[in-house]
Amino acid sequence: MPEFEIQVVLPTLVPAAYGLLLLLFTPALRDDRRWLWAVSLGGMALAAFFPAWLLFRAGATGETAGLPGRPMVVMDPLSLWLDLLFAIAGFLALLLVPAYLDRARAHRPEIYPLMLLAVAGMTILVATTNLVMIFLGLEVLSIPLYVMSGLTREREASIEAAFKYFLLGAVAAAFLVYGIALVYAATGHLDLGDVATAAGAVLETGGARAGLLAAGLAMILVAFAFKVGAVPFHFWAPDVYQGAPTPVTAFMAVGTKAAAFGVLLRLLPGTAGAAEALARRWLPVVAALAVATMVGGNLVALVQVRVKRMLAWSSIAHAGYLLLALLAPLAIGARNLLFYLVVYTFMTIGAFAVVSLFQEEEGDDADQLDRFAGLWKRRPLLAIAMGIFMLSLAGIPPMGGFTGKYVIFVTALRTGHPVLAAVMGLAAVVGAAYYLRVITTMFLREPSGELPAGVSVSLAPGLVLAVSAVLTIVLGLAPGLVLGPLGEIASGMIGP
Amino acid sequence: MELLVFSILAGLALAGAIGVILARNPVYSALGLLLGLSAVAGLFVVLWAEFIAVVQLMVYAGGVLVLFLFVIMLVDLEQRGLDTDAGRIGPQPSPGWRVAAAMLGILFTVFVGALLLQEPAREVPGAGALDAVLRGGGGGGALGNLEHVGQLLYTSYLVPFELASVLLLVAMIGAVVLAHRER
Amino acid sequence: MLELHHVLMVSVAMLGIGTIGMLVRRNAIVMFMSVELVLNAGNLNFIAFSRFLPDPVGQVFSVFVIVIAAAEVAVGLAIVLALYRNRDTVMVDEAARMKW
Repeated sequence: MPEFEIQVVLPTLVPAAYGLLLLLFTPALRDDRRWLWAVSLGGMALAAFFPAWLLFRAGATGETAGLPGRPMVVMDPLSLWLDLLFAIAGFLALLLVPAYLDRARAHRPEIYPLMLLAVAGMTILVATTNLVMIFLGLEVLSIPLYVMSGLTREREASIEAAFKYFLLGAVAAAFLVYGIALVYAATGHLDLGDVATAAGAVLETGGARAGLLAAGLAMILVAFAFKVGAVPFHFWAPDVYQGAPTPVTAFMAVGTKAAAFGVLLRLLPGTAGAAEALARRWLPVVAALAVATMVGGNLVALVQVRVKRMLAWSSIAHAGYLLLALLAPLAIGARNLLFYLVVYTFMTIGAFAVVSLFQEEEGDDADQLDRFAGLWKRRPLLAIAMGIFMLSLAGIPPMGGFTGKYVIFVTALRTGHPVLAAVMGLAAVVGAAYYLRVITTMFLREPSGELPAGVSVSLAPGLVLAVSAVLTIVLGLAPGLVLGPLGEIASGMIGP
Repeated sequence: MELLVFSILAGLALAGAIGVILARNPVYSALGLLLGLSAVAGLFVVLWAEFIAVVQLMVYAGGVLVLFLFVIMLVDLEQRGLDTDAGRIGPQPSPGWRVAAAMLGILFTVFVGALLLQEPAREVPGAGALDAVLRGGGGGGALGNLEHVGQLLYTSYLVPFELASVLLLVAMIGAVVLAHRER
Repeated sequence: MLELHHVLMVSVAMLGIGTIGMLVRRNAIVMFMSVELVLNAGNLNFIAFSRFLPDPVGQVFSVFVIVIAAAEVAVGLAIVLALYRNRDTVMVDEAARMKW
């Protein structure tokens, strides 16, 4: 057994230990909410620091625990980049929490440790090639999210969101278990590396075992399609995104998606790399999911009248673009996927940050599109920030969202998926319509009615808006800054 | 003999499972679940997994089912009488949808079953030693079933094992946060 | 002689019953029990493969499945309870106030 290297588990250990400690002190600090908040921000910063530190040290790969050659935990550029992304998303979401909860009159200090623990779950999910760990990581990530969705119990929508998220999550977990069992039956292994090797032999002999393997992988794919909200496994997403407290929605939209795609990045091209025959089977399935998701998400988003719900459907549409990135060969696909996730993190959290400010005095969201009318005349800076996020989500240059879509589009075109690229282009054009409608509402319509009380930007949400807006533009103007280092990811990947 | 015991237990397990989804009263559903899960524990014994069987009985029959019954009592008996389906307020899902959903479920099952059952019973060469391990006792210094599972849990699977403990703690706290009543 | 496909038949039947239960029933608690049935079907698979492969790792996995099922039940029933207190219902249709 290889020596246990502590640094390999640091990205998980730090948020997990910090979250558990914070949980211990939460009852004592119930009344010192600002303090608790500051401490948890510190924890999230630490959780971001360690992967960043490991990443920028040379030779950042390693594995630990488990049998030799079948590690339980791996550390490679892919996992470290995603860890960093989770921590940043968590940090930005945490910044939004107190302002939101204060206005909602829901004092729930438990949200701080739960957020850290959810980050820990995400880091587990992307830092393993073992199906046991993937299953456990998914649960460690999901259970805090179920609870956080329902934290503002006073709002009916919140507990309903928790309930729906939970029920669908449980179904996904059950299917995941069954799928893993079938894969185990077909190959006799739980480590993705061994599975990929065995899959080659299994497919060569063909017959019944190949059927088992295909059924198992399909069920695992369905479980993750639930988690990323791919059509037709998306029906929970709009209700959950709308009902959950807005900072939690922002975190969930970004974090869960990034974690699930991290797993898919190891799972699909990995197993397919070992077996050409398998690739032929799953590529059409993923392509079909991608098309349905892009088209479905964008079309339904068109008719939404509440901005938060519109963003939920838009997040489904973006899952479609990400699925499309998954189809490319690993070397370039991983880079495109990660870049899009980075851009997506900032523009989505930014947009949800604006929405989180639109709230009635007694807690319900006031995110109807009409409320945004004439925002430009009332809060020019807020309108500009929202405008930047909407342009970026719509994929209009020079915003980061454009670059992200562009690389995925061009790659799809060059790697022999011209039809899919065309569908993506059309879907994006349709999608631009509803983002632009928000912009015209803000800038061209006359203000009407009262602004919700919350729309006075305090320091912390202001910081989130500023950071997200600046980074969205920077990623659009100088994508090389991130695209360059991300290019190394595929070559540094451990595992199948 | 083995097959006979297996068949009886399998019949009980499936009967319990069908009871779960057919019973109108959730209390009966819970009892069906109890029957089903206990029979599955029996199947585990037939399949040489005594340890898992005991865990299954303790966790499911001892914990999960009590929790289920507890919540059913809290939710239903409090205000609206036993039979929730009869006393329900909202719209019943249309019979058409029910039939369609059931057909969908059956289709899915047949599909998976067809994939699974074309698998011929396969003989794995060199399986004798491990066989003895799984059968328990083993003899000749070999580890028994429980020892073997325990050893795997605390060596190769130590990391997931620790993770599971964190998960249980998180779940407990989450449940308290959501369910406790503000005074 | 007990064969693998005997166990698989039981497991697939259980998967089917659980799936149908999830689709047809509208009582949250019963839907949740159906999820437990599917989890148990998966577990039965693991144990069966563990015996017929043979390989004890399958049993280890099923320990984790049982642990996680317990954790899920705790959180899930807490959510059902909170939902009930808020809304006086455990029927999924009634919970669906939000429409797309």
